[in-house]
Amino acid sequence: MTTHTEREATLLEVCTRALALVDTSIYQGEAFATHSNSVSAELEKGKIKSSQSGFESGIGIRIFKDGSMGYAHASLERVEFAVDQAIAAARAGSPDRDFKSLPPAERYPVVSGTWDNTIASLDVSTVAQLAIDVADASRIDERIDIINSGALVGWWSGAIANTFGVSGTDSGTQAALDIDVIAHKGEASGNGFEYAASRRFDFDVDSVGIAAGEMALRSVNPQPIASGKMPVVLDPLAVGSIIAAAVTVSAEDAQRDRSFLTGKIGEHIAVSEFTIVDDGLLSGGLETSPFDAEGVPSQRTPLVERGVLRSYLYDSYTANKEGTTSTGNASRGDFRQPPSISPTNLVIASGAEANVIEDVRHGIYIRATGDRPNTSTGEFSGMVYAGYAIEDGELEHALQQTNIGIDVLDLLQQIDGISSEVKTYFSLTTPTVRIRDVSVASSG
Amino acid sequence: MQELSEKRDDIEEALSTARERGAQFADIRLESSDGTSISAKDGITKINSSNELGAGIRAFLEGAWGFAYTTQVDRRGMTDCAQRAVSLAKAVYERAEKFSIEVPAFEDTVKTTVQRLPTQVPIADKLGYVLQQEREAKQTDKRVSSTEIGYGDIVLHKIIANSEGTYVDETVVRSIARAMVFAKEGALRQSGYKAKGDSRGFELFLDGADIGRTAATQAVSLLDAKPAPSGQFDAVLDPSLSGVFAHEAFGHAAEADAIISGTSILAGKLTQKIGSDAVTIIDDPSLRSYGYMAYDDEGIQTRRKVLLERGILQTYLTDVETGSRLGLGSNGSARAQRYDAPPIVRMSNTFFEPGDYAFDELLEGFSGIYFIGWQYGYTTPTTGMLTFKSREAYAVERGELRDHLRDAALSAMTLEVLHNINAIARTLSFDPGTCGKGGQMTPNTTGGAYMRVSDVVVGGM
Repeated sequence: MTTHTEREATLLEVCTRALALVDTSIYQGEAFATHSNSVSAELEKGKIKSSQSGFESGIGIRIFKDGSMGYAHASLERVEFAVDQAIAAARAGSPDRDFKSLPPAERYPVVSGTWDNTIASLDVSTVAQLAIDVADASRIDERIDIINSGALVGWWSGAIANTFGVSGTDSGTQAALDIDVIAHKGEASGNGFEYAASRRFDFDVDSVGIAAGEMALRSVNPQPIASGKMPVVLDPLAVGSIIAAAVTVSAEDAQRDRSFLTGKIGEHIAVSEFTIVDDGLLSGGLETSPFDAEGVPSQRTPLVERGVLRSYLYDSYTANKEGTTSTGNASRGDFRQPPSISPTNLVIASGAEANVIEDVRHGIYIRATGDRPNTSTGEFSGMVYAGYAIEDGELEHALQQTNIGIDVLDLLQQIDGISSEVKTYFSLTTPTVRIRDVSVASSG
Repeated sequence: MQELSEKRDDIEEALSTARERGAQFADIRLESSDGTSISAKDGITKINSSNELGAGIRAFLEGAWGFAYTTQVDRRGMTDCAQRAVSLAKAVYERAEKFSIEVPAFEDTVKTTVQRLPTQVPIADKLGYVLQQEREAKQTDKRVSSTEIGYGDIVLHKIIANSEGTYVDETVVRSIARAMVFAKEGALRQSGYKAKGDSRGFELFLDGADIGRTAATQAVSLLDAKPAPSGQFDAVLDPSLSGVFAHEAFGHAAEADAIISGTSILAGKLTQKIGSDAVTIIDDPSLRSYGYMAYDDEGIQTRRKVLLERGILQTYLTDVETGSRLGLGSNGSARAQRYDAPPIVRMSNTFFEPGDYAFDELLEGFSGIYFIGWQYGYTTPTTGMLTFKSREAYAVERGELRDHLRDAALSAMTLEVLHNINAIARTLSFDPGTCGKGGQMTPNTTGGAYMRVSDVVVGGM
């Protein structure tokens, strides 16, 4: 069996071979190759439905000619073909004077907690058992009658190289669990869900299942509430879709003047208790790696520090355009896509409150919304996908057809409670956050 | 493009290996594709050339599926892959719900006929179209601050074969272009959007129709728009939004996998009256539009399906598994994103049948909100609660358009909307889009006509 270090060496060798085909007197070039494996299982109504396994490898080639970018990908057997295609594409496009150069070679930091040997040796029966165990754990009450769940483990190795000497390799593991539960009480039904993802095979399966079960029971028989202005408490999941999505601004949007935070670096945009950091080095983080998708060393970047907007997210192109340095936020889904800017791991600082709900006399708790802020206007309006009324400091009935609307800059100034406890959902670690005064519209 | 037609012996070898190893049924999708995508953001171009070759194999055993895929598409690679799929099914089938499947067999070769095959169009022509749209957008108004034009094409050749004798050789061609334009005045920023897409070649872009200018005009016009009011209103939806309702709110609930997993509001409602007489909804993969396919990804010939007829639920969207389990048979609704994902129940071209109203008649005496264009939206499957964010809207008083509104969202319950649709206009139009489900993206079309609905909740700022 090949080890991941051996695989990294093979991939790097393929990248080097690809770049040898690039005439560096005319072009700049980058090669990115990966090999990935996954095993997953899916449960439908508590019974196994399917299992899957896949492995694939491939290479993505990025070529620049006078700033015009061409990209192509192919399997590792067709490297020459991919290089030819990327060169042809770069030659066809328009020059870009703002493009200076691909990143130079640098030393990479050491990261920890990103590889778990257990994951790379799991078979499909073990993965299927995980999906069954989480389903069993969610049966906390006889009203819970429909359970769909899934489990997935994956491991991959990757290599990157460019014509300026960048050369790096990395490997990682990941395990993920999801569960969706429906509770029935007579005609009424309620939906509960939970997710967990980790670099290690270390889930607390019971607590994931129980959380989904409890949420389903709590969600039975949703009701509207009276419309008006009231305090809103955001669950960590909702903090991600509303606050984190609004304040992580790509330098590309800022430079194109398409963000409501354009030109606001150094300004107080939030209450001084609010701090959010993009941390590509976070131990065990799902997005942690020694370098980003174009081989720039990963780093820790404060985005909002004690209420002050400190930074946008940069890749090497946007950094060069502004004469600053990349924050290491180039990222890509797989070898099929060229890099684009996105956050790594986001961490919002915890606060002082043991319970952010207990002082709310009349308000709502938002567990999840499918909406995102309009990042060009800074306005947020959206539906409460899952949420509850708060009365006298207690969670009450689930909400039906309830919408909220607020300007994000107002929202950030109206944060008046941050929990001391934090929760991690995928690559976001955040406390629960209370907003003082939000307009809530419901059909009631 | 890689030649697939000579692979028949290798494919049949892989399928018989799967049967010998214990699969009750096995199928294979062998795919080869060539595609180009181009983006231009404020004059900066990025060109991405995509070439894929691979095979996905499923093995079925007593209610459990194993799925594996490979990029090594010779006899050895596909046979190994078939063995892996069987091992996966064997590892878990004892813990599965037991059922059997019925699979009708088809043998056919189908090619989408196009005038200008994208693989034979010089990249300079494609780039020229993109840059022209960008110029048109920029020249629309001085307040246009940023433009983003996207172009994509694909020629996809696939062979779908199974252990029941199916052997379908299908080539599909698709093209799409999208314009996203931003306008700015003072501190106010607004955006506009327009797309066109079809199962056609480059001829799609030679009709002179313009997406850049349309998107730019919308962005600029929204600079003067007001935030939407909130409360309960009657609504008129434009064809984009009614099409999205047909797909997002109704169509997903009509997917038979959601019926079986107990997550749909339409479970147990076949033959029941769930909407007003005005409402007929159709899914038709055989229609030449962006979601076109002559055969689905299980090799079943596709056809027009009337899901809802004058308010009565007629059928669900089914694939081989769900069709067998529900006793309906497959109606050709299985789709996969690529060879490396298994087919699941999906829509294709989903639309409201038009009614007999003129647009002006819909507005006659109407007071409420008139919604135009779709930004995004979603539903909660188990309750049918939906929310759609429109691109623009107008307040309407007794048939007269009043305030122009931005970021207006509507929310409602799907089954209530179906009852509350009281008039549909006579002109049908379609929008191309991409639908995500189970981590897989597929090209789709949504369609509808102007439509009037009573009692929706409108949320603004």
